[in-house]
Amino acid sequence: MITNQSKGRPTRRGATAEFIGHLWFALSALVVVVLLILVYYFVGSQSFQTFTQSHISPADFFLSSNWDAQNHLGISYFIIGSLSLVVLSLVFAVPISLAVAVFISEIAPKWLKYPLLRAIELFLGIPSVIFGLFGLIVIVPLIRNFLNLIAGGIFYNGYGLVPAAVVVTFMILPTVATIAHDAMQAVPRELREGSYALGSTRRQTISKVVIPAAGPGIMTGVILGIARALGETVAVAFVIGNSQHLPFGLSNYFPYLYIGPTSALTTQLLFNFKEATVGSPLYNALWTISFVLLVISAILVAVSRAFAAKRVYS
Amino acid sequence: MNSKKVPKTAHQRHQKELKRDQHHAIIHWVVTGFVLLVLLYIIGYTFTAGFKNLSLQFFISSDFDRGIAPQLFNTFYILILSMIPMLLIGISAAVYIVEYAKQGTMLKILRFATETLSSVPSIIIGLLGFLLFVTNFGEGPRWEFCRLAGALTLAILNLPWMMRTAEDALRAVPNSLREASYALGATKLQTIFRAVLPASIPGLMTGALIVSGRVIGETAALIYTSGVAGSSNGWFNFNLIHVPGDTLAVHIYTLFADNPTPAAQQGQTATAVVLIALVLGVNLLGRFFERRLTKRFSGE
Amino acid sequence: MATDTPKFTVKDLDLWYGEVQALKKITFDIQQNTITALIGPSGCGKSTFLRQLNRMNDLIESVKVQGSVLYDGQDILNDCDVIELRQKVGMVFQKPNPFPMSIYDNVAYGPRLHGLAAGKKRHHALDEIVERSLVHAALFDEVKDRLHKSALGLSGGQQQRLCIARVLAVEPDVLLMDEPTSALDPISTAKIESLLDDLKKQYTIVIVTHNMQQAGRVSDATGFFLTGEMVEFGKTDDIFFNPKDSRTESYISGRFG
Repeated sequence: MITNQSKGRPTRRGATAEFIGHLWFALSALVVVVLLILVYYFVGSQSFQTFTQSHISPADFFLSSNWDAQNHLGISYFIIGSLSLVVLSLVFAVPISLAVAVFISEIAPKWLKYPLLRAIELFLGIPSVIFGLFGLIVIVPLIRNFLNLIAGGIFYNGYGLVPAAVVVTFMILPTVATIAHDAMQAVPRELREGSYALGSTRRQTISKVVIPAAGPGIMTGVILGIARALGETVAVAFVIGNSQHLPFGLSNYFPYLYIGPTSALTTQLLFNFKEATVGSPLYNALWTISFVLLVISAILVAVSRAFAAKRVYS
Repeated sequence: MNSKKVPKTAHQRHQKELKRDQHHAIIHWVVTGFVLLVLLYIIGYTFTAGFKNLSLQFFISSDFDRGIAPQLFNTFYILILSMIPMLLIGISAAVYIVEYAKQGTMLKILRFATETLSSVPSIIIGLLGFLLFVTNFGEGPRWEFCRLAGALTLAILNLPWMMRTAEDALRAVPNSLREASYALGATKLQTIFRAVLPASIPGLMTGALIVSGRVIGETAALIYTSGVAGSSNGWFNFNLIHVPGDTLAVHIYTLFADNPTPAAQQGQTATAVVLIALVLGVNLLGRFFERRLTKRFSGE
Repeated sequence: MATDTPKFTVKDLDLWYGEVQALKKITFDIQQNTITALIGPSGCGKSTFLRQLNRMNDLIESVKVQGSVLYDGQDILNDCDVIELRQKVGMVFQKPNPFPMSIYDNVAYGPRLHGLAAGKKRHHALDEIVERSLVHAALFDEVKDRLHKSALGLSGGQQQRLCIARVLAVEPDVLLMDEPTSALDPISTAKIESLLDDLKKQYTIVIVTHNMQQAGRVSDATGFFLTGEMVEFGKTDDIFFNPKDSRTESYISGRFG
């Protein structure tokens, strides 16, 4: 059959095999789409039962701070906890990651760049439970001793937002730093030369040309960091203290700022799910929390894609 | 003379700028050095704290506080169980993306789905696993807390990563290889199975090992799927759907959540040493294959 | 300073990339307010030499140099501040390299760095510098309505003239041009060549080109490089019509390169 041969399909049997192969690969690719739909469908449908089955008003659920598994379910403190955790982690992690990325990409001598990058990348693989354990046995006592020292008494147990943010910082730092580094490496050498040829110092070239040109790429790294900080569960659970309080508040003793045990949305899921009987208001509420996290991470993906589309050099 | 009113000479400005440039470089040296030290300290501290609690007994005992034999077994059992579907689907999906899909809507949908799925917090994938595998969509039991539920949940969690690394591996195969295969009269399927996939094996190995590291280290997605306890009737069994099984990572969490005693902390750090060694070992092995891949295609 | 004092005095300049010697005993003078063209086949060292005049070679780690280059009588290889040198000796590159910012910000980049627009009416002064530089680079009329749009939207020829304006804005003394038209179409090339003649009144220009017609059209003096050596240097007319070295003659007549 001449027509078939010209298409590279010498026999009928070969054509059937080709078709089955194509179908198998296409269906495999669709699995990820099906899984995504499953996640949104199940989490979404379960989450609305808080309002339909358990008759909790959405306003009360999101704005109330009273969380009592038996009587009243309000998650505002956990939302504040998660948001504070994200913000504080970013405050720590972004400048440090940027400095590391700038160092490896622009400042370090050639022989140091590759080993440094590889060393940082190695930390991408360290499990979150290790960071949590380190936070529990090193960071929490450190913060406890420090706060009690400056407060002049035993007021703090060291758990809470600060150690959680420190732990999350270590976890997202390698991610943000390597992505920012890649974005800076994508900036063409000609731009740096153009800047140097106008008589700029290295600092000026980095801050006025390299970082702005790599900006959108750096931002995708930062967004990824936000997503990880928001979704991190186990490492945070080790050090956040698991209490229904605001992450910070006023206090009567120095430094007049209470920093103590609190909760995030994710740790709330982790600690409460085992006590929730299927169909109870608590069970439904936990699914609603999941859905909130799901929606925020979807928004973050959208923002990250918007930045990725703005990249000039890649 | 009021010094504020006198503008700086070009020379003064310039000297100041050179100083700032120096300080800028020094700050970056210091910050990077500090970061590296802290990260090394995290590993070093855990190792020194845990190493003295390691013994042969620790590896073969199944006592909750004194040994990790069941957790070691479960870790590898769940790893293998989850890698089988993940490799099969992940590599096939990557083949579709690299070899079949054309630029267009389909590829956009796939990209969007992988990116969005990989951004879902692992605890939520864990709860979904509970819903799908442990219970019958929340309506009564399906299986119990079991290792197959944990493995399938981890497969869902890491499928986007597996697809991405497999895609990289396939894209690293030079086009000339495909063209050579077609020129010899091979069909598309023959080209994929006889030319592209064999050539990408080192890359696929790298991907599989990096994903294995993530599977071994995952905790949150397993707590409500494979469970936090070991089997009550002997840990050395292969039962898929009736026996719970905690992994090394989950064990560290359980020791913290259920039993925060000094003895537990000794067990935690010792388990942490084993876990870090496993994960780093797997990652370094992955890098090794990556290097072999570069050599293969650069001909060095 | 007398006008016949050379702008650059180059003596016995050697340069190595690691173990490979790229420049061998280069010796000649570059006169003020002239256009000097450097010609030669690819890899002959003409670009490397050009990049030594404002020390851009410092950015390459393996480069070692020996000899002396005097700029206005000052040794720029040893006792020299490269940042100050590069303000005085500006450079235009082979590929247009506008920064990914607005046209205005590209031109204002240098003046902002060096505080050239100072005083109370800083913004006004900066506007003036930008406009003057763009006019000088024969680009102003084409871009005056979109000064605050991205420079990456300009055509290749416009981008290259923007890069020239960007250099002019830091008020240099010398312009180094590394094959500035090799990436451009003939019309843009013609525009830049006629611009060069105009710029000569104010600046000393050194241009590297592989286009011999261009060297013949625009330059006053020409140096011919071959495998790292300066084979011949002299008035452009002499080099083209009366070369002393047989290698120059064969290159000019197109027998190799």
